[in-house]
Amino acid sequence: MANPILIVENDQDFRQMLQEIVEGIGFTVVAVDRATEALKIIKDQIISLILLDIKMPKVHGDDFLRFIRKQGTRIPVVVISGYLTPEVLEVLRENGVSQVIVKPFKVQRVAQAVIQVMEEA
Amino acid sequence: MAKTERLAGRLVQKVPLFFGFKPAEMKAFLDICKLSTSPKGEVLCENNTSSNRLFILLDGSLDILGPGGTVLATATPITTVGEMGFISRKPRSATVQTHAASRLLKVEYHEFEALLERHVQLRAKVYRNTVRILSDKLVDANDRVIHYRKLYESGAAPQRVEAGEEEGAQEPQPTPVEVEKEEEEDEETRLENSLQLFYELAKVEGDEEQKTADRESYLDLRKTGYTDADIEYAIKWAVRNIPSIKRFSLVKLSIDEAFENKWDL
Repeated sequence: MANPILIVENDQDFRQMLQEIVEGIGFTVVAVDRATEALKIIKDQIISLILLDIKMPKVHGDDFLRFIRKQGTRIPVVVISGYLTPEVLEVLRENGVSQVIVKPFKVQRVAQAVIQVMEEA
Repeated sequence: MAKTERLAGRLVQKVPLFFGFKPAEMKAFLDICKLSTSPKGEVLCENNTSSNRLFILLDGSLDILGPGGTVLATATPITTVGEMGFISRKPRSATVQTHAASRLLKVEYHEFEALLERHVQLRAKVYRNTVRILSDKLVDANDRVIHYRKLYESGAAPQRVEAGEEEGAQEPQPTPVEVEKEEEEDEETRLENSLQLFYELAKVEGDEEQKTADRESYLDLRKTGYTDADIEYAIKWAVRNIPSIKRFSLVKLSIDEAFENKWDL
């Protein structure tokens, strides 16, 4: 079985929905509501993919992404956000994000992205 | 995430009138809404008055009152109230009163019409969704007719006695309890058939825990008003379009996406 997929999303409804989608296509999930928790997880566990929100309290997703890339983490990242400015998109591009999904998202879109990235990994 | 964006997402997910709205369309709609709070007992609109306002209940609850103040139904969030009269321009068929202090979005008809003038696609979606809501209501009404006919035939309601027909000469009829049991068994069979279809098409063998969750998802869909034909369509759509689908809960989650394509005008 593949290593778990990490969901980093502060909105409870979206987090639950993403978890349901990812589990519904056969993967195990670790879900957290903030970037600092996500850092602890990737330190302790092998994660196969991160589904990352951008606008979160305290540490935003783009800052989290920049930080883990500087630390040398190469885990694939799919960004799922309703907050995408040109500056944020530039950060995502520079830091090798696999796919970007705009909220409100479709189940089909998220499932396709996860499967595609997991197959490429 | 902005509150408006989150609200827009919820409305698209939960309110049939807004199924298929794109974020920009939902935002344009929300721009013409006015947020208000109403104390318990406030009458929002009265029977037989003109339907020039649509309500979207965000918090609280509303009583739908029939003649003489009989409570016909109690609406809970998130839902629309008065959408049929609002769109068909027919007078209100019931009085609506807050059952508890409530938070509502209100939309005036002239502003809604102006919005639809500006967004042709939005008009098409509103009409498509209205047809769908009416169709669901019709199915619901048919189910009720069948239910009451069964009750009538079972003897729970007075029956017409044909001339010359002797009392006690009829075939023994099921009691209301037996009729209900029969209906439950029908529902159980339909549920099993739907889940079986899903497991076969998705090529999965659910364990007991998954089957329990899947049953709940199916029952949720039925409670929301989806017919078995709807669910069958959604299963086929989900298996075709959601790669590696393994749980029935994704059929429930993606059912709006399935019908977005089916009902596109």
